[in-house]
Amino acid sequence: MRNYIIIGILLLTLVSCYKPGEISIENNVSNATLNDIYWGDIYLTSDLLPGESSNPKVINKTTEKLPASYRVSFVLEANNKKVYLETDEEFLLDEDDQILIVIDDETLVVNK
Amino acid sequence: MKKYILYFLILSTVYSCTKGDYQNNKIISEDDEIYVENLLMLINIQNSDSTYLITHRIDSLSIYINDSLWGYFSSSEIDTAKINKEQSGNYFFSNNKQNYFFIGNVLAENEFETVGDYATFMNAYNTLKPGDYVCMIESYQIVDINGLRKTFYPYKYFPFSVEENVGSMYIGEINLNFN
Repeated sequence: MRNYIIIGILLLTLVSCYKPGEISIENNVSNATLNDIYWGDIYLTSDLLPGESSNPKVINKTTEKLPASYRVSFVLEANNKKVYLETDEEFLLDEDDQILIVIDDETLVVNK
Repeated sequence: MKKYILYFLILSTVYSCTKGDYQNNKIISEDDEIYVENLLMLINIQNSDSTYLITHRIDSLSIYINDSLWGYFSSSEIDTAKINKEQSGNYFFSNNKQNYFFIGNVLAENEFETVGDYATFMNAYNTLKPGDYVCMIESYQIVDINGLRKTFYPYKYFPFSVEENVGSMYIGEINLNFN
């Protein structure tokens, strides 16, 4: 019985040690909006106007095992035109980490 | 069993409507209509003695549509060695009309590396909806027999109409005066 209690306490300790990470994203692209923004396969937010930042997206252990590193993908929209883009860079998120990803004119991207 | 198949189909539909829709390797328009992206034209340049300029190519032809810059374009090259011509000043001219072919298209898709490259291109992407327009040729450049490049400013205006659902449009033959 005592063993079960110890295992239970250990499990509770492990679970309570896990702290989720948070990702925010900011659109600093001139005259273009970012739509359908993902970090890897995790959906972050829908529309970001130029200069706008998203609310922090909490990444807990049910969403993703941290640390994890992924590219950001989004649909760039300007002048009634759209294109799907992915960042060249991968963005690392660790437990208890809060990162702000800024997408601007100089962000390197690929169009896959 | 039918119920499971139905669930599967619903789930497939929902899943297919998510992220994958945008995995498109090109820039797309939100409109379903086809708008003019290419303006085709023939241009000849006539001297005061009614002869026509002979050059291998006309460069940097600036085209404005309704006072907005459409772009700078070069003509297709021709082999002037096969054309009967006479020198006048620093240029060659012929008694036979020589047209130069231009495709005035939207900005070419270059090698894009940054988000800014894409945004700039998309914001500058010109298309013409059906309707009436006025085109103006502001300037063009020619290289003379000494290899010197000179810019000419004809400021030639001409009207044209765009029809529905055409991607390319022939504007016509345009005569410009030399000098």
